[in-house]
Amino acid sequence: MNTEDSAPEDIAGLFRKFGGNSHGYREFAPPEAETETPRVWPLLSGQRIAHPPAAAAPISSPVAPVAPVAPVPAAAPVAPVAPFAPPVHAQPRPAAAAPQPRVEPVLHTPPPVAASFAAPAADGTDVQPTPLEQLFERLAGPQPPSAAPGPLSRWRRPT
Amino acid sequence: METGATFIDYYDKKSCSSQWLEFNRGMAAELSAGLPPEDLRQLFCRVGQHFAQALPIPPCRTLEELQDRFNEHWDRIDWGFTVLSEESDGVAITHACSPIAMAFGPETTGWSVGFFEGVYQAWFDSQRMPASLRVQALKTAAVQGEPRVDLRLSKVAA
Repeated sequence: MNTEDSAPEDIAGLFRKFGGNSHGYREFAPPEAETETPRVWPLLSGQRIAHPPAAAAPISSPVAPVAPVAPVPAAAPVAPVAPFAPPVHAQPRPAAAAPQPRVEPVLHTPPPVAASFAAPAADGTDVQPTPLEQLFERLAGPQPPSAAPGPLSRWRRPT
Repeated sequence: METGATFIDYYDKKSCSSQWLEFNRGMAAELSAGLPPEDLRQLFCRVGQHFAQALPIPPCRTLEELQDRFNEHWDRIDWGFTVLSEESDGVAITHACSPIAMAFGPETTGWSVGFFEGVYQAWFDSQRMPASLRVQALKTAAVQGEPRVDLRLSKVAA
Protein backbone atom coordinates (compact mmCIF):
# COMPACT_ATOMS: atom_id res chain seq x y z
CA MET A 1 0.00 0.00 0.00
CA ASN A 2 1.55 3.27 -1.00
CA THR A 3 0.84 6.81 0.17
CA GLU A 4 -1.60 7.43 -2.61
CA ASP A 5 -4.05 4.83 -1.37
CA SER A 6 -5.84 7.37 0.78
CA ALA A 7 -6.72 9.55 -2.18
CA PRO A 8 -9.50 8.72 -4.56
CA GLU A 9 -8.39 6.74 -7.52
CA ASP A 10 -9.10 9.45 -10.04
CA ILE A 11 -7.04 11.93 -8.04
CA ALA A 12 -4.23 9.46 -7.50
CA GLY A 13 -4.22 8.62 -11.19
CA LEU A 14 -4.06 12.24 -12.12
CA PHE A 15 -1.10 12.84 -9.84
CA ARG A 16 0.67 9.72 -11.19
CA LYS A 17 0.21 10.98 -14.69
CA PHE A 18 2.20 14.10 -13.88
CA GLY A 19 4.63 12.45 -11.51
CA GLY A 20 3.21 14.06 -8.42
CA ASN A 21 2.26 12.84 -4.99
CA SER A 22 -1.41 12.96 -4.18
CA HIS A 23 -0.82 12.52 -0.47
CA GLY A 24 -0.95 16.21 0.22
CA TYR A 25 -4.06 16.76 -1.78
CA ARG A 26 -6.92 18.34 0.12
CA GLU A 27 -10.39 19.09 -1.02
CA PHE A 28 -11.50 22.62 -0.47
CA ALA A 29 -14.62 22.88 1.60
CA PRO A 30 -17.48 24.59 -0.15
CA PRO A 31 -18.09 28.13 1.02
CA GLU A 32 -21.51 27.25 2.40
CA ALA A 33 -19.88 24.87 4.85
CA GLU A 34 -18.57 27.79 6.84
CA THR A 35 -20.71 28.20 9.87
CA GLU A 36 -20.17 31.89 10.54
CA THR A 37 -18.79 34.75 8.60
CA PRO A 38 -15.93 36.25 10.56
CA ARG A 39 -16.27 39.85 11.54
CA VAL A 40 -14.35 42.26 9.46
CA TRP A 41 -13.07 44.08 12.53
CA PRO A 42 -13.02 41.65 15.43
CA LEU A 43 -11.03 44.11 17.50
CA LEU A 44 -14.16 46.06 18.19
CA SER A 45 -15.67 43.21 20.12
CA GLY A 46 -13.14 43.75 22.88
CA GLN A 47 -14.01 44.98 26.29
CA ARG A 48 -13.66 48.50 27.50
CA ILE A 49 -10.14 49.44 28.31
CA ALA A 50 -9.46 49.06 31.99
CA HIS A 51 -8.48 52.28 33.59
CA PRO A 52 -6.02 52.61 36.40
CA PRO A 53 -7.50 53.47 39.76
CA ALA A 54 -8.80 56.98 39.85
CA ALA A 55 -6.24 59.57 40.74
CA ALA A 56 -3.58 56.93 40.95
CA ALA A 57 -0.01 57.65 40.24
CA PRO A 58 0.83 57.76 36.59
CA ILE A 59 1.02 54.30 35.18
CA SER A 60 4.25 53.05 33.81
CA SER A 61 4.49 53.71 30.18
CA PRO A 62 7.15 54.04 27.56
CA VAL A 63 6.71 57.71 27.87
CA ALA A 64 8.55 59.27 30.71
CA PRO A 65 6.19 59.94 33.57
CA VAL A 66 4.92 63.37 34.09
CA ALA A 67 8.03 64.85 35.42
CA PRO A 68 8.49 68.50 35.99
CA VAL A 69 8.74 69.69 32.52
CA ALA A 70 11.01 72.39 31.51
CA PRO A 71 8.94 75.38 30.73
CA VAL A 72 7.94 75.12 27.18
CA PRO A 73 9.56 77.86 25.30
CA ALA A 74 6.78 80.05 24.37
CA ALA A 75 6.16 79.45 20.79
CA ALA A 76 6.04 82.62 18.93
CA PRO A 77 3.40 84.46 20.84
CA VAL A 78 0.39 84.41 18.72
CA ALA A 79 -2.09 87.15 18.94
CA PRO A 80 -5.30 85.99 20.55
CA VAL A 81 -7.15 84.01 18.03
CA ALA A 82 -10.24 85.64 16.83
CA PRO A 83 -13.27 83.90 18.21
CA PHE A 84 -14.67 81.34 15.94
CA ALA A 85 -18.00 81.78 14.38
CA PRO A 86 -20.66 80.79 16.86
CA PRO A 87 -21.78 77.26 16.18
CA VAL A 88 -25.32 76.39 15.46
CA HIS A 89 -26.54 74.00 18.09
CA ALA A 90 -29.63 72.37 16.85
CA GLN A 91 -29.56 69.69 19.53
CA PRO A 92 -26.85 70.46 22.00
CA ARG A 93 -26.83 67.17 23.86
CA PRO A 94 -29.37 64.44 23.63
CA ALA A 95 -28.51 62.93 26.98
CA ALA A 96 -28.52 66.02 29.12
CA ALA A 97 -31.42 66.69 31.36
CA ALA A 98 -32.27 70.32 30.81
CA PRO A 99 -31.11 72.32 27.82
CA GLN A 100 -29.21 75.40 28.76
CA PRO A 101 -28.08 78.18 26.52
CA ARG A 102 -24.50 77.59 25.59
CA VAL A 103 -22.04 80.26 26.55
CA GLU A 104 -19.58 80.66 23.78
CA PRO A 105 -16.07 80.19 25.16
CA VAL A 106 -13.41 82.68 24.37
CA LEU A 107 -10.74 80.79 22.53
CA HIS A 108 -7.21 81.90 22.83
CA THR A 109 -3.93 80.15 22.87
CA PRO A 110 -3.14 79.25 26.43
CA PRO A 111 -0.23 80.99 28.05
CA PRO A 112 2.78 78.92 28.99
CA VAL A 113 1.95 77.06 32.11
CA ALA A 114 4.26 76.70 35.03
CA ALA A 115 5.43 73.15 35.16
CA SER A 116 4.93 72.66 38.85
CA PHE A 117 1.94 70.55 39.67
CA ALA A 118 -0.16 71.38 42.64
CA ALA A 119 0.77 68.91 45.29
CA PRO A 120 -2.23 66.86 46.35
CA ALA A 121 -2.84 66.13 49.96
CA ALA A 122 -0.05 63.72 50.62
CA ASP A 123 -0.94 62.77 54.14
CA GLY A 124 -4.62 62.30 53.47
CA THR A 125 -5.58 64.84 56.10
CA ASP A 126 -7.24 67.12 53.61
CA VAL A 127 -10.73 65.71 53.60
CA GLN A 128 -12.36 68.79 52.18
CA PRO A 129 -13.51 68.18 48.65
CA THR A 130 -11.60 70.16 46.11
CA PRO A 131 -13.41 72.64 43.91
CA LEU A 132 -13.14 70.13 41.10
CA GLU A 133 -14.74 67.41 43.18
CA GLN A 134 -17.46 69.84 44.22
CA LEU A 135 -18.10 70.58 40.57
CA PHE A 136 -18.40 66.88 39.79
CA GLU A 137 -20.79 66.39 42.68
CA ARG A 138 -22.95 69.24 41.52
CA LEU A 139 -23.07 67.99 37.94
CA ALA A 140 -23.81 64.44 39.02
CA GLY A 141 -26.55 65.53 41.37
CA PRO A 142 -30.11 66.36 40.45
CA GLN A 143 -30.29 69.24 38.09
CA PRO A 144 -32.60 72.17 38.75
CA PRO A 145 -35.56 72.36 36.45
CA SER A 146 -35.17 74.54 33.47
CA ALA A 147 -36.61 78.00 33.67
CA ALA A 148 -40.10 78.48 32.45
CA PRO A 149 -40.31 80.22 29.13
CA GLY A 150 -40.67 83.92 29.52
CA PRO A 151 -39.01 87.23 28.85
CA LEU A 152 -36.13 86.49 31.22
CA SER A 153 -35.89 82.77 30.63
CA ARG A 154 -32.60 83.16 28.80
CA TRP A 155 -31.07 85.25 31.52
CA ARG A 156 -27.91 83.52 32.56
CA ARG A 157 -28.12 82.07 36.02
CA PRO A 158 -25.13 82.26 38.29
CA THR A 159 -23.12 79.11 38.34
CA MET B 1 -5.68 88.07 -2.08
CA GLU B 2 -7.57 87.16 1.05
CA THR B 3 -4.58 86.74 3.26
CA GLY B 4 -6.37 85.81 6.46
CA ALA B 5 -8.07 82.72 5.12
CA THR B 6 -5.00 81.84 3.10
CA PHE B 7 -2.76 81.93 6.12
CA ILE B 8 -5.14 79.85 8.18
CA ASP B 9 -5.48 77.35 5.37
CA TYR B 10 -1.72 77.15 5.06
CA TYR B 11 -1.16 76.44 8.74
CA ASP B 12 -4.07 74.03 8.77
CA LYS B 13 -2.38 71.99 6.07
CA LYS B 14 0.86 72.08 8.00
CA SER B 15 -0.86 70.66 11.07
CA CYS B 16 -0.32 67.13 9.82
CA SER B 17 3.07 65.86 8.78
CA SER B 18 3.35 65.35 5.04
CA GLN B 19 5.16 62.14 5.91
CA TRP B 20 1.92 60.69 7.27
CA LEU B 21 -0.82 62.67 5.56
CA GLU B 22 -1.55 60.35 2.64
CA PHE B 23 -1.03 57.28 4.78
CA ASN B 24 -3.62 58.54 7.24
CA ARG B 25 -6.00 59.50 4.46
CA GLY B 26 -5.69 56.06 2.91
CA MET B 27 -6.23 54.35 6.22
CA ALA B 28 -9.27 56.53 6.88
CA ALA B 29 -10.68 55.58 3.49
CA GLU B 30 -10.28 51.89 4.27
CA LEU B 31 -11.78 52.31 7.71
CA SER B 32 -14.75 54.13 6.24
CA ALA B 33 -15.24 51.35 3.75
CA GLY B 34 -14.99 48.61 6.36
CA LEU B 35 -17.05 49.89 9.26
CA PRO B 36 -20.14 52.02 9.86
CA PRO B 37 -19.55 55.44 11.41
CA GLU B 38 -20.75 54.42 14.86
CA ASP B 39 -18.23 51.57 15.03
CA LEU B 40 -15.50 53.88 13.83
CA ARG B 41 -16.42 56.37 16.48
CA GLN B 42 -16.15 53.63 19.08
CA LEU B 43 -12.83 52.53 17.65
CA PHE B 44 -11.43 56.03 17.84
CA CYS B 45 -12.82 56.41 21.34
CA ARG B 46 -10.73 53.42 22.35
CA VAL B 47 -7.73 54.93 20.62
CA GLY B 48 -8.35 58.03 22.68
CA GLN B 49 -8.42 55.97 25.88
CA HIS B 50 -5.02 54.53 25.00
CA PHE B 51 -3.79 58.05 24.35
CA ALA B 52 -4.99 59.23 27.75
CA GLN B 53 -3.30 56.32 29.47
CA ALA B 54 -0.03 57.14 27.77
CA LEU B 55 -0.32 60.80 28.79
CA PRO B 56 -1.84 60.73 32.27
CA ILE B 57 -3.09 63.74 34.15
CA PRO B 58 -2.12 64.19 37.81
CA PRO B 59 -4.84 64.93 40.35
CA CYS B 60 -6.04 68.51 40.00
CA ARG B 61 -7.94 70.71 42.39
CA THR B 62 -9.72 73.07 40.04
CA LEU B 63 -11.11 73.11 36.55
CA GLU B 64 -8.58 75.75 35.57
CA GLU B 65 -5.73 73.57 36.74
CA LEU B 66 -7.16 70.65 34.82
CA GLN B 67 -7.34 72.77 31.68
CA ASP B 68 -3.69 73.72 32.13
CA ARG B 69 -2.67 70.08 32.48
CA PHE B 70 -4.65 69.20 29.36
CA ASN B 71 -2.98 71.97 27.40
CA GLU B 72 0.46 70.98 28.53
CA HIS B 73 -0.01 67.65 26.77
CA TRP B 74 -1.71 69.12 23.72
CA ASP B 75 0.92 71.82 23.34
CA ARG B 76 3.76 69.36 23.63
CA ILE B 77 2.50 67.32 20.70
CA ASP B 78 1.13 70.19 18.62
CA TRP B 79 -2.50 69.14 18.92
CA GLY B 80 -4.01 72.55 19.50
CA PHE B 81 -5.50 73.60 22.80
CA THR B 82 -8.64 73.23 24.83
CA VAL B 83 -10.89 75.58 26.76
CA LEU B 84 -13.05 74.28 29.61
CA SER B 85 -16.07 76.39 30.49
CA GLU B 86 -18.16 75.61 33.52
CA GLU B 87 -21.87 75.89 32.91
CA SER B 88 -24.87 75.36 35.10
CA ASP B 89 -25.37 71.73 34.16
CA GLY B 90 -22.15 70.72 32.50
CA VAL B 91 -18.70 71.64 31.31
CA ALA B 92 -18.23 72.81 27.76
CA ILE B 93 -15.03 71.44 26.21
CA THR B 94 -13.84 73.28 23.15
CA HIS B 95 -10.81 71.85 21.43
CA ALA B 96 -9.37 74.12 18.77
CA CYS B 97 -6.69 73.71 16.12
CA SER B 98 -6.80 69.94 16.19
CA PRO B 99 -4.96 68.30 13.30
CA ILE B 100 -7.33 65.35 13.19
CA ALA B 101 -9.57 66.71 10.43
CA MET B 102 -6.54 67.37 8.27
CA ALA B 103 -4.95 64.03 9.09
CA PHE B 104 -7.95 61.86 8.28
CA GLY B 105 -9.89 64.08 5.94
CA PRO B 106 -12.73 66.50 6.48
CA GLU B 107 -15.33 63.86 5.70
CA THR B 108 -14.26 61.77 8.70
CA THR B 109 -14.99 64.28 11.44
CA GLY B 110 -18.33 62.61 12.13
CA TRP B 111 -16.50 59.64 13.65
CA SER B 112 -12.99 60.87 14.33
CA VAL B 113 -14.37 63.01 17.16
CA GLY B 114 -14.64 59.75 19.04
CA PHE B 115 -10.94 60.15 19.71
CA PHE B 116 -11.56 63.26 21.79
CA GLU B 117 -14.48 61.65 23.58
CA GLY B 118 -12.18 58.85 24.64
CA VAL B 119 -9.32 61.12 25.67
CA TYR B 120 -11.35 63.56 27.73
CA GLN B 121 -13.53 60.86 29.27
CA ALA B 122 -10.46 58.97 30.45
CA TRP B 123 -8.78 62.12 31.72
CA PHE B 124 -11.88 63.19 33.65
CA ASP B 125 -12.34 59.66 34.99
CA SER B 126 -8.83 59.84 36.41
CA GLN B 127 -9.98 62.81 38.53
CA ARG B 128 -12.41 60.75 40.62
CA MET B 129 -15.33 61.82 38.50
CA PRO B 130 -18.67 60.08 39.13
CA ALA B 131 -19.49 57.46 36.57
CA SER B 132 -22.75 59.15 35.69
CA LEU B 133 -20.92 61.97 33.94
CA ARG B 134 -20.00 61.43 30.33
CA VAL B 135 -18.16 63.36 27.65
CA GLN B 136 -20.00 63.58 24.38
CA ALA B 137 -19.18 65.41 21.21
CA LEU B 138 -21.79 67.88 20.14
CA LYS B 139 -23.37 67.56 16.78
CA THR B 140 -21.79 70.76 15.64
CA ALA B 141 -18.48 68.95 15.80
CA ALA B 142 -19.42 67.34 12.54
CA VAL B 143 -18.83 70.56 10.69
CA GLN B 144 -16.63 69.25 7.97
CA GLY B 145 -13.04 70.19 8.11
CA GLU B 146 -13.28 72.75 10.85
CA PRO B 147 -10.31 72.42 13.17
CA ARG B 148 -12.50 72.72 16.22
CA VAL B 149 -14.31 70.10 18.22
CA ASP B 150 -17.08 70.92 20.70
CA LEU B 151 -17.76 68.44 23.44
CA ARG B 152 -19.68 68.53 26.66
CA LEU B 153 -19.30 66.87 30.01
CA SER B 154 -22.69 66.35 31.59
CA LYS B 155 -24.86 63.86 33.37
CA VAL B 156 -26.18 61.11 31.18
CA ALA B 157 -29.86 60.34 31.27
CA ALA B 158 -30.70 57.31 33.38
